[in-house]
Amino acid sequence: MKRPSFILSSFVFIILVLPAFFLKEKTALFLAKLVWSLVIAFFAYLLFKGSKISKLRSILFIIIAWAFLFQFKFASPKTQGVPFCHIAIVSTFLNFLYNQYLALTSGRWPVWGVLSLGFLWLVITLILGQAWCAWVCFYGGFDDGFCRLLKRPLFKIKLPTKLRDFPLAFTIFIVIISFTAGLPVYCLWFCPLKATTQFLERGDIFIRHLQLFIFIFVALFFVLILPIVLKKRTFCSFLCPFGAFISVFGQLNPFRLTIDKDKCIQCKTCIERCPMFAINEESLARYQPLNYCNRCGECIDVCPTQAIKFTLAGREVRTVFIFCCLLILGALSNLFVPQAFIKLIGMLSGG
Amino acid sequence: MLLCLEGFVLGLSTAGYCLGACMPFLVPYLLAEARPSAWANLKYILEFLFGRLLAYIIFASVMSVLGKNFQGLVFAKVLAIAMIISAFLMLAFAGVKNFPQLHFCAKISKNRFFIRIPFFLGFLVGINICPPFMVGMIRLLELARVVKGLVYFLGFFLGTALYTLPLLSVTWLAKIKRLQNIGVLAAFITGGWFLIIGVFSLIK
Repeated sequence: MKRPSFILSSFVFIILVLPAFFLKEKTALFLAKLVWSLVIAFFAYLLFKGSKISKLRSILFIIIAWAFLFQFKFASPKTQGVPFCHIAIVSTFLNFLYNQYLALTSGRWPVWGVLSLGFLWLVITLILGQAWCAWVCFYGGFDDGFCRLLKRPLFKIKLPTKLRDFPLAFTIFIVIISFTAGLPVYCLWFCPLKATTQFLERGDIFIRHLQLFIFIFVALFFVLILPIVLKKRTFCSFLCPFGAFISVFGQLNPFRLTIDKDKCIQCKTCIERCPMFAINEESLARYQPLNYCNRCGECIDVCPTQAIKFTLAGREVRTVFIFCCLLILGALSNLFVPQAFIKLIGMLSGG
Repeated sequence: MLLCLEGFVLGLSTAGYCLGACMPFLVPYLLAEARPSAWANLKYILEFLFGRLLAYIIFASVMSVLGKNFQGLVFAKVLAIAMIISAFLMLAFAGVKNFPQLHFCAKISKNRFFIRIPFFLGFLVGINICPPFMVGMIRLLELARVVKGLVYFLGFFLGTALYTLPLLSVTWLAKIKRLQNIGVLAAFITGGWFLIIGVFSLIK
């Protein structure tokens, strides 16, 4: 079927740029949102028209991650101190539930806002499923970017099947331990983004140093070094609680990555190239990726027989899937990427 | 009777924390050992709770006798040591479950002590990291009577035990083989975490 690339990408642009017209003042922010929406629409056009997915996707994905870091880094200290993102929501899920219970019993309704946001994440999860981790997440672009630096991996590892479930075990542990401590343990001890900003513990100087050491270690080892040498997204694969959460609840999402039994020649290129350890020999023998597959499209691009496809109820839905992903990517990134551009241009021009 | 009720109400109102203290040990164990029969899983939970009850009784008795002469520093050391032992237990459990093919592990897995791990974990957690237990302890110091202390802690135990029953839902997940592996991995992580915290607490 011929893909109406131009019409669809124009539609993406119109939807994304529409909220900008409701800004009270048509200032630099309006212009920046316009430009960013145009950029996404341009990538949408290329994605709808071309056959390759992953490389184009990753360019947007990497821009979003660095723009988020830039925007967050230069945000007010108050914003930096709040452990609040999709990873924090998952890793302190029981704490959130408990807080909602307290809000309910105390009548402090504004506290409910937190759960509403959690509900929003859940809705997005149901629309995109695991694709969140390859198309929208504003952290994933770091290790996705670093794992593309080398053409070939320096080391090849064969991950034992048992260890692939480590992130689920880690998430269960983090959720429970955060509830026990009444603290966001993941944010306090494991979040690599904290290496670039302040962290919460203000008491014992030894603990502060230990936390800083762990933040830097996780950032260097799992976000920088391992992705470069293995060409795998190691942080997202093993240490992200949201990735583990979405690998379970994302199953509710109807989009699937399907391996065609008739076309697959078991060449194992997809196993080698999958950045998430989401296809192994056992799963390929069953012609099914593991539930950790985040629909990045890398295997689709490298499959020599075009045996791998995005499907919905057995039918190929590449265009519909990419359309959904780009809309949510655009809507969320429009909240901070334009601001980051403005700040960056301001800094570069000495403002 | 009034004292028992007071303990029960304290247990009910603070059981959220109490559950938080028990869950890091009980959940990985239940995931790894879950059976398709609810009764078998209830037995694990009851063993754990019985271990906790015993810890409460022993500590209630000891602390009631000590009364105001209670030495906080010694108590803190006991907590740290209990945490380290419980961490070792979790690590040993995870190790044995993870390498069942090894002769040593196969032998240990049939050992009576190993089968009773929920009881020992319950006992250690009972004297260990439970914040409501500390609240109860303060009340106990005021009472300074062994029998009164026992009655009070029996009520407290019943109040908190109610909250562990939802963990029986693991029965429906028992058929998922991958969950057992996830439970073993979670037990490894939990053991490692509490070992580090226990050692730091001891040094401090």
